[in-house]
Amino acid sequence: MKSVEVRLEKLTKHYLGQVIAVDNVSLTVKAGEILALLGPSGCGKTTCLRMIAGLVDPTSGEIVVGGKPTTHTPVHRRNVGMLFQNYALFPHMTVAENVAFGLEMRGVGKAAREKRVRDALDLVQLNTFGDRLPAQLSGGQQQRVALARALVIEPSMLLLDEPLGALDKGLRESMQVEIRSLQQRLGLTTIMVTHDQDEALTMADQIAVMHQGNLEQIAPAGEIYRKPKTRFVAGFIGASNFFEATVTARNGHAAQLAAASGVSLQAEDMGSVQGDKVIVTVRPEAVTVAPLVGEGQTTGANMAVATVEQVVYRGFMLHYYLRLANGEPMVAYRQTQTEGFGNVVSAAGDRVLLSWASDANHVIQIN
Amino acid sequence: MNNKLTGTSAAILYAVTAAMMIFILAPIVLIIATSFSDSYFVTFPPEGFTFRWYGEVLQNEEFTSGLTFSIGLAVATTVLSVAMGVPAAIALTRGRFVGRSLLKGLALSPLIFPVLVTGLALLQLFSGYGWMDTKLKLLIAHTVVTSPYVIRTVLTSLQLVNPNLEEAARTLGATRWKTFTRVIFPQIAPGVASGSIFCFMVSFDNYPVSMWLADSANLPVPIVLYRQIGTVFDPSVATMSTIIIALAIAVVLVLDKLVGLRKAMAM
Repeated sequence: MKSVEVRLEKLTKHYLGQVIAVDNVSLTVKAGEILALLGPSGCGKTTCLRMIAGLVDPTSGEIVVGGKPTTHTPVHRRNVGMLFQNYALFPHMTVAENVAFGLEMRGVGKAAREKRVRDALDLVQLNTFGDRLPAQLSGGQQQRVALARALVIEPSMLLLDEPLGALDKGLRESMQVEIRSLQQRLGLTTIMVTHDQDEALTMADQIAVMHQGNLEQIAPAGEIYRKPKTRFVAGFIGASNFFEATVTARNGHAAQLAAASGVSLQAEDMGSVQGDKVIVTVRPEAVTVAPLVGEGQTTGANMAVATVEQVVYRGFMLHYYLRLANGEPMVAYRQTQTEGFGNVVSAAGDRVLLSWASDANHVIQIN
Repeated sequence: MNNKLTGTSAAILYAVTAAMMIFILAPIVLIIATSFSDSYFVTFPPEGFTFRWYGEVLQNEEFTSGLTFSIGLAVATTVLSVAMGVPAAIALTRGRFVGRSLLKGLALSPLIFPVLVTGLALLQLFSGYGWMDTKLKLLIAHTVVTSPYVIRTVLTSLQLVNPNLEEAARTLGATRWKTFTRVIFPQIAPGVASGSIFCFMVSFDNYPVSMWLADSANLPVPIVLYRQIGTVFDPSVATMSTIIIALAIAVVLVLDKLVGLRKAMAM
C-alpha cells in the first residue's frame, strides 16, 4: 500500500445556530504515521475526522490527501477505511459478505474478491469466521472484522472513530497494540479520534489536542507530555500541578519566579515564553515527598511545605493529595518502593516537605 | 431468575387471556360457522353443513368483480403508499431541515383524522376540480388514508438502524442508492412489510372513504357487502366475509414467509 500525507488547511465547520464545531484547524499527518485527535467530548475531534472522511462538509478550509485537494470529493470516492465505535457491521450480511462489500462496490470480480476477503480475514486472524453473522461474534472480533473490511479496499488512509471505546480494558489494550502493529506493517496513514490519553500515547506518533473546536497543540507523544503548550494540554494529558507565577529574574534561558502561593521557583528553560506573568506546571511524579524535620525548616527554590490530605494506594504508585499553606492543592505520585518514609506510609494530617528538580518546572505563556 | 406465574395469579391471568381471546375471536368464528350453514337465513346456532353458499357467492358477479376490484385497488394503494412512504420516512428521520417535526405530525395526521371526514373532504376537492376518473380518485383517497401506516412503521424501523451503517457503506464506496438498496432497505424491510399489510388491509376493507367516491361501475367489496345485507340477509354474506378473512390471512402468511413479519410486529 502506498502511504500518503494528509493535510488539513484552516479547516472550519460551523453549524447553524451553534458554536463553532471546528475552528481553523491546520495540521499535517506524515505518510505512514498515526495521528491521534485527542480531547474531551464536544471538542470537535469527531467532526474533524468526519470531514476528512467526507461525511461532513466543511464550512471552509481544505483537505489535501497525497498532495491532491479532496475537500469536494464525495465520500464514496475518497477511498478511506473507517472504523466506528459501534463497529457498524452490516447485520444482515455474513462476515465474508461484510468484508467483500467494499470490493463489490468497486466492481472487483468474484474470484479476486474471494481471495482478497480470505487474505483480509487472515490478517485479523478470523479466517474461520467468514460464514458467521456479526451478531455471533464478540465485540473484539466484530471490530477485527470491521478492520478487515476497512483494509481490504486498500484505502489511502485509515480513520478510527473511538474504535475501542466499547471494549473492556484488557481487550482494548491488546487491540491497541494489534492495530498499531498492523498499521506500521502496512505503512498506512491513520487518523484516530479518542478521548483516552493513554490510548493516544500508546498508539499515536503525533497527538493533536483539541479544545472547544481549536487545535491546542500538535506534537509527538513524548513532547506533548513533557512540554505542553497550554494550560489545557497540561491538565488534559496526565495530571499537573499549576503555579501562577511572576518572573523575578531572567538569566539567559533560565529564570527565577515567585508563585502566588508563596513558593519560589527556579526554571531552567523558559523556552520562547514572553512576559512576566506565566504559569508553571510540575508533573506529580516529579515531586518528592519527605518528612518535615522541624517546623522552622528553611525552604529554598522548588520546595514547599504541605499538609497531607489523603494518600491513595494505587499498587506500585502512591498518590499524595496535599495542601499548601495558602490552601492551594498539590498532587505527588511516588513509587511505592522509593517512598520517602521507608516502610511507613505517611498519613493524612502529616506535615511534609515537597521538592522537585528545577528542570521539572515547565513554563507556559499566558495569552 | 424465574418469572413464571404460579397459583392464583396465574389462574386469573389465564382466565383473563382466555376471555380476551373469546371476545376477539367469537364473532369471527361465528361468521365462519354461519358461512357453512344450511338454511336460508342467518340463524344461531348455524344449522347443518353445506358448501352451497360458496358456490353461490362465487357465481355472484357483483361480489366477484367487487372482490377483484378491491384486491386491485388495495395492491395499487399499497404500492403507491410504499413508494411515497419509504422516501418520506427516510427524509423525516435522516433529513435536517426546518419544520421537520411539524411535517412528521402532518404526515401521520390521517391516522387520527376521522376517515369519514377525509373522504368527504376529498369528495369536495375532486368535484371542485371536476375529476371524473373514479378509479384514480379511489386510489388517491385510499393512499391518503394508508400512507401514514407505511410512514409510521418505516420511521420506527429506521430509528433502530444504526446511522453508522450508512456511513460505513458510504466510506466503503457505495453510492447513496447502493447504500439504500444493499444496507438500509434490508434493515427496514420488516417495517416496510408490516406497513404494507396495514395498507392492504385498511384499503381492502375501507368503507367510509369509498362510500363517497365509488360509483356503480367501480364498487369495492365492502360496499357490495353492505348492499347485499340491505337486500337479503342469508348466509351468503357470511360466506363473503369468510372469503375476505381467508384472503387477509393469506396475505399475512405470505408476507411473513417473505420477510419475517413476526419479528417486525414484535418491535
